[in-house]
Amino acid sequence: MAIRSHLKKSREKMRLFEGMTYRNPVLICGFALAPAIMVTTSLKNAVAMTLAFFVVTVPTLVAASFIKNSVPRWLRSVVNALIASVFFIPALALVRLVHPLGVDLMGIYLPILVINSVLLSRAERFARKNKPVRALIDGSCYTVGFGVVLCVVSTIREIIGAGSIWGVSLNLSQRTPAVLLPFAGFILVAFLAAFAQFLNRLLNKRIYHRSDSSGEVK
Amino acid sequence: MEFRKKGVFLDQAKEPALSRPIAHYVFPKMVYLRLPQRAVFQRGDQVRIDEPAFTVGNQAVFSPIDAEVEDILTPSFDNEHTYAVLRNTVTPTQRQIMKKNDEETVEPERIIAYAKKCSVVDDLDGEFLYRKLEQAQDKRKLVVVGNAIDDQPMISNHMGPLFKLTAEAAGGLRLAQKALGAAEICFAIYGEIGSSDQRIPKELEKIPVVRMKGRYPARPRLEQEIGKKYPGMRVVSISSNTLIHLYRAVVYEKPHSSLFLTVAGDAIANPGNVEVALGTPVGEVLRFCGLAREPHRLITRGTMAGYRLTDTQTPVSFGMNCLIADAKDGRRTHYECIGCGRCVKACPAGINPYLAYRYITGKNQRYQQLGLERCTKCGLCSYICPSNIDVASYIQTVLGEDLPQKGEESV
Amino acid sequence: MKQKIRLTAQLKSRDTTAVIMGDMIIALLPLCVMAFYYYGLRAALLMVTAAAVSYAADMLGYVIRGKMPNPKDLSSIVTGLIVVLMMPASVPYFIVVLACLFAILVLKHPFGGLGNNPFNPAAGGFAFVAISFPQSVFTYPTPFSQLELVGSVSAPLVESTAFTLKLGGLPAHDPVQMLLGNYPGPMGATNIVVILTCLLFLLYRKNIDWRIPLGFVAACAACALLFPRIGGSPRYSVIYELFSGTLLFGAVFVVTEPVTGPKTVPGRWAYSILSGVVTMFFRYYGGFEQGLVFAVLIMNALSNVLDREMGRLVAYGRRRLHGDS
Repeated sequence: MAIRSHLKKSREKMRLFEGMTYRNPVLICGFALAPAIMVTTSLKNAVAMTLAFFVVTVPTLVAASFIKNSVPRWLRSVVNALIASVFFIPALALVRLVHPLGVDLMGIYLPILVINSVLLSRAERFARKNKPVRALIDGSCYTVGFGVVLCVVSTIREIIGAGSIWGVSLNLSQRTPAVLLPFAGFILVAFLAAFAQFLNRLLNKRIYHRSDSSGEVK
Repeated sequence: MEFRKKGVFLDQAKEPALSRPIAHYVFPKMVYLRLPQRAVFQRGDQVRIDEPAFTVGNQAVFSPIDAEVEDILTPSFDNEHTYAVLRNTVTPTQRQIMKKNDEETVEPERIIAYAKKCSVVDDLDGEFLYRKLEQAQDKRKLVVVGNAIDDQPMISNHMGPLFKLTAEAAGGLRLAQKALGAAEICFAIYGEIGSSDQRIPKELEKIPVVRMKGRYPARPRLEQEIGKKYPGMRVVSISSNTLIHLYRAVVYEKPHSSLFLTVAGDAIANPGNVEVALGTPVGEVLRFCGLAREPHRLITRGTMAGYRLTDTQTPVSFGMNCLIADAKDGRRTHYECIGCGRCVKACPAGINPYLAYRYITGKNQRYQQLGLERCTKCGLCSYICPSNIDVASYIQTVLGEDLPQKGEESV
Repeated sequence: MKQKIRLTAQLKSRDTTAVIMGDMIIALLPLCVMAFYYYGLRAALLMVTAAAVSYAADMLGYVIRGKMPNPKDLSSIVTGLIVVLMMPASVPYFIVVLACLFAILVLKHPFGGLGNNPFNPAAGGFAFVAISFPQSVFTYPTPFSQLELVGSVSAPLVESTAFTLKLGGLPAHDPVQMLLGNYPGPMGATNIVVILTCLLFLLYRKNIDWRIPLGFVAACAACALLFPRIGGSPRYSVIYELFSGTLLFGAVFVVTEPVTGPKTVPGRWAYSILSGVVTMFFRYYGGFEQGLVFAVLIMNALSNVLDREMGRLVAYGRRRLHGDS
């Protein structure tokens, strides 16, 4: 079919958007699991976390793409984290704007964004060797992937656990507050990850006629 | 090692084979003889009974029958070696066995020389007897044990000949004592034979009998038990069937070319212990004992740790102690391992078969740290598993155990 | 003559896994009958629901994993029955369904199915609904009260003796009545006499190792004796602690699960004694009145470690005592 060959030809192009599509940072790569599990008890938390993630990660990746190889290898991650902590200040302000109670609700997991794995991993592997525009797109795609997962998980947990969405009560008859505990977050993310890998395997088979059973992580 | 408390009581079920007289099937119509790498035969060659057919590394290999070499081939049951098919040319007659040497007056060195000349092999560990006797010469006091322990169910291929051919076995043991200058001798028998009519005497031909009690497996405990009865002495253990062959080798100069087997199972019409010529196809032995039903399962080399045979042309060789033919196939459904731990409880050697199974099937290299070399190959872990998992075979695969072809070593 | 097929050695018929699971179901049946006797048809319907849902979830789990479902595999029915027998007879149906689904589809199949689960599925299923719906799971109807077959129950629900103990009070039930099970409590866990009979049956069939219930109950009794919650009378403390909640039921069915527990003898002693101590900790200081399921889940994580380390400890101790062998 035309779309298949088209996709095969543009596979190189597809790799730029991998964070959004087949290489979801939380579900496939296992990055940034702590924010994805611990704070996703309500949709407001998730959106605020995603915004903070965006403001911290993407400018840092662009900056890393400017720095390239000037920093020696043993110092690179430290410099990236320092740059990220600089960008954490506007992130914090943004969160205070959108979700003022969130800074306390999310506790330590908001500052931990400074050293999140997506940032350190992509800076080292991608941003260092590519132009700033590509690093920008790459970072944005990873943020979108991260945000999607967070929103899905938090919606499910908020509906089942608190019976509300975005703080608006839905007046459900049955609520299970236990779902708001971390263990349910782990289990939920695990099942979503299994589902995502299943989709990946399906895509591999249908589009690329490949039947390798390993995940798509390259 | 606390062996006594471990292991399992098994229902020994040695009757009716144990009480019947020994049958002799030493003149089969054809035998298979494994050949060495170099060519020793051609079609049409004649071999005489009890004469060396060829020598392998200073050891003579004998033919059990008067025969003509009918064919030289690589057979279906073993496609790594060439075999000669020997077809019996002479109708079996009762040959006159003449006593050539007197067992009272023969000197110790001559005993070992006769053992070497007649290629007597110990069928429990596959070593040539003369080598064992030479290595056992020691300054310390020795006790020679005639090992007649048959601890696997249905098998009595040591006990049967010991009780029925007692004179030869006792004579052989006395010859071994003389050859080694040993202080004491005794026979060792596994005494838990359940509801059998056979009584185990305290003495056989004035030789004391050590009766081993306890659970299966009993063979690994032999040295411990003998050490208790005869403290401070070094134990030399020789299979009781080998002692019979040693007696024959010294007194009649007859080479070791036959085995004692237990043929039993519910497909056999006349179960019992049979003396069989080496190289006889298994199917011939079964036909000799009579098949009451069509056998669907043929087991050899032990009922707990043995193997299934599928080719009835397989020749009888050292290490085979039984032929159990059953009418039912006996395969069971495999379940998954439920981690019940029965194998851990049953293992007499103290290793953890459950962990070994998990590591080996999970391709985890940690099984090397489990100390699997202590395995006594008793097969209890597979026997006791409620999910019918063949645990022991996994351990054996990892230990690299091949099917032993002892007694024909350097071929 | 190379080896064809490997070890055979199946001479006498022995217990197979199907027989073991059948034995466990037989051991649970008297408890089911007693639950039906005390709580009527609703209890029976709950048990049937639990068994059916567990079995269906198990088959579904096999299909999801891509394996052939084995219809003779009764282990999921055992799990379902254990989960439901720890619950009150007034529990809503959806809670039972949720517990069974969680136990089978989250705690058993994602880890590899029968024989590979690191955590006890029955304990996990019950723990999940216990922290999600504590009001429904920890309030019990009195025996012989009329319970509706479906829907919510209108009979008055009371707290169990374990709750009374947690508050520091002396339960009002006569210990002899507690032996017979004529007091409000979990459906299958109230009849002490029947539980002990089932224990003897399972021991006779060699399905469970006698060391585990013994160590567990001994540790709990020791804790109850040394640190009684009922002031001043250690004998009553031991009796009430042991008879309340799901302690004895768990000692026979939950702690003794072969897959999740340790396999070596020293490991089993350590596991049972530590489970008892941790259960009592949860009872005294935990948020809920019963601590067994949580203690079992924690100790399941440690069973492999206990196997290894207790083996080493025992070997070291033997070397010190007997000299170098």
